[in-house]
Amino acid sequence: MEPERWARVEELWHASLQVASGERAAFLKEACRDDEELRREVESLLAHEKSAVDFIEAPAFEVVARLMAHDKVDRSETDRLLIGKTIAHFRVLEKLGAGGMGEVYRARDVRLDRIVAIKVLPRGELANEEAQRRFQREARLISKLSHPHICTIYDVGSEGGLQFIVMEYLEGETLASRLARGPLPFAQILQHGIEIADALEKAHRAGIIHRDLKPGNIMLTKAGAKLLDFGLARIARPEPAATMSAIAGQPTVESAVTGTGSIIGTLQYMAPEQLEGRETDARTDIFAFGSVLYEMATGQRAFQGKSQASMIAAILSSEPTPLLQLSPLSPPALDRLVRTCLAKDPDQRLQNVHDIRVQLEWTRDAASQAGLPPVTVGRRITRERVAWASAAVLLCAFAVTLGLLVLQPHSQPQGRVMVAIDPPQGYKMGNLESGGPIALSPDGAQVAYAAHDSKGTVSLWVRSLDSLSPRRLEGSESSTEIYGFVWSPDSKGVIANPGGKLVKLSAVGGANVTLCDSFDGLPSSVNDEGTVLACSPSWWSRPSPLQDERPPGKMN
Amino acid sequence: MEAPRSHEVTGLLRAWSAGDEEALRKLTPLVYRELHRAARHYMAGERPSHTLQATGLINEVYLRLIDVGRMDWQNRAHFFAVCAQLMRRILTDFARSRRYQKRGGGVAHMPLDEALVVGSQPDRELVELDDALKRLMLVDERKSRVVELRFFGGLDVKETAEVLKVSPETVMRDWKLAKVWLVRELSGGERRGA
Repeated sequence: MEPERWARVEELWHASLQVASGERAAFLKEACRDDEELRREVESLLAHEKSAVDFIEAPAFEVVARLMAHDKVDRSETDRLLIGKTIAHFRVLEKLGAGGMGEVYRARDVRLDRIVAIKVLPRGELANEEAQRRFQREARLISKLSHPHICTIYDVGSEGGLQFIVMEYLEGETLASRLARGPLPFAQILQHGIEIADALEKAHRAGIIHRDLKPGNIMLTKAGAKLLDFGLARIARPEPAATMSAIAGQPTVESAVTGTGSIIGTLQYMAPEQLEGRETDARTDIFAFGSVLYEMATGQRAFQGKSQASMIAAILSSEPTPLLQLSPLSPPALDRLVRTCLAKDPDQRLQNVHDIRVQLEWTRDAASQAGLPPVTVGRRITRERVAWASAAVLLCAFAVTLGLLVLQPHSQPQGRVMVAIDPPQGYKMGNLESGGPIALSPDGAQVAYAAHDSKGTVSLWVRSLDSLSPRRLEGSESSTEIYGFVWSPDSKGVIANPGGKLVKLSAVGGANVTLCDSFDGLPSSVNDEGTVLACSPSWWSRPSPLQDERPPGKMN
Repeated sequence: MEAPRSHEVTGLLRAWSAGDEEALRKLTPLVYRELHRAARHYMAGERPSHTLQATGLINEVYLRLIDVGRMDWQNRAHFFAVCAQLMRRILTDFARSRRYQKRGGGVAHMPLDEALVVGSQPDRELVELDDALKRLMLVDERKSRVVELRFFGGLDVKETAEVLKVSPETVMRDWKLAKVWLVRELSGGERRGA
């Protein structure tokens, strides 16, 4: 940028700060006149003003010293001291991982002779005795939460200055590591969503807010989802959470590069009110739950940013990419639910988890009536499963579930999309008696399938993957069953044999093209040049099909 | 390596600012020693007291690095400016190597939310900030120096003004705009995987 121009940007930026925020737009419009670029530049700087408030307020030296402290505690000290040792009556066996509040180890309770997980807080995590007492008190309160989808806390204690929590040992993987492999199938999203909602509901009724709900705190086990670390975020640091505004008042403490420093919990899933240091309540968990549902459906975080500062800006001011855009075949009800959970203003969200659970159950029931396959828990997602889901398509009379291995052209991780395709209103899926196939267009954007109405008329339908309503292909109505239909190589039409004719039915609203007037065969494949291979069912029962061979139809 | 004595430090700083990279190699352990000292405070769970402000902390470091009685620098300002550059270099190198180790250590792709209490974030941000600061220098050199002096050098507004020979008000104005510019620069709409 030219120095004069930059000087002008600077001048306008400072001047805008003197103007009330509601009048800035008008002020800039006036000041920049026709210079749109100048106005945009100043406005984009103004947009980041709030998130820059605490940015780099703590010196780099301190940030690095804290990093070093963290590395030391993390790697050497605790591990070296603990593994093989006994804390109270727990023999520490191995490290399982590290979470927001300390390291987690697998341990044996030597008194009860059972395996437990033990979470050890880093030394100095609790500043003084009062904080330690509060920690113990509140952890006991949480240990009273007994729910099949909440990881049970057995005990809390301290020994030799180490604070620890003993809890149920869970086998499985965290939702976070599961999500690293891509989005979850729709049925699992609902199942786990309902389990999580049920757990949250129980806790909220007991007056306990999680405050750090995120995929890393959800374990997927054989018995379903289990929530970890309930309410611990609050206990560990009872002072107003790690928020920008809270920290602004404590210049030297907790500040990392962005000034947010030793963050409790995870920024990505924090609600706007948490980040702004305002009061949090059950609706704070609802926001985080919305983010988790979003991520389960899309495989992407609802809010993204390169740095903590930009992450905070995203949560406070931007809307996530619409769920249906990333996962077009998700049920609209889920999209709506997630959006309502992610409202910036807590008053605009769904107000309690009970309502969310009911909506999720309703969505699940609607789906299962439509013939979604039952959920199998804890089963690895494999190609066989996809094939199994595809096989279900053929058997299912009302709806089909389509498993697609979507190969994205760019560097996106490979993911699997699981979609439910409902029959058009007033129709049932497939042919009258024998079901019917479903075909994906060569460009991967549409699916074609047969459906029949109550009068027994079969027709072909096409649904674009980014829309929710199917379209009937004009001219596809047939009083007999429609089987082998194939997509034309350009994805613009479907070749089928309704009413005894071989026709290329336009899927883009154009005219149909009759390829062969009298035809009782099944189109079974088409090559890039448009040559259609079709076969007559009568061949199947005859020993010498060549006698009866019809010339293959050539597309125009 | 034997750490240089404090009276040697001034000489090393001067040599480094004149382009002697070998001097940096000798200065680095000194700064590391101070970092470890501060880190131990944090590990012991000592919350910095109210009297020990952040700038106080780093000034203390400078005092220990340099024997003030023997300080024969023509002016404090130059000393601070060189110290800020030194800190920037050493601290970002630390962050860079820490990131490298984390990645090299089998953590291929550490999702942000798996980061620990003070997780893998700050080091990454330090590295990115260092790069962004280089870009800021092309747009507005003085603002990039304000950030270097305050954030990396740990100087307060008055000291920064002294180094740059401008008024403290100007430093504050520069500081505010530079922070916003940098935040915008660092936020540039990341998309996972794309």
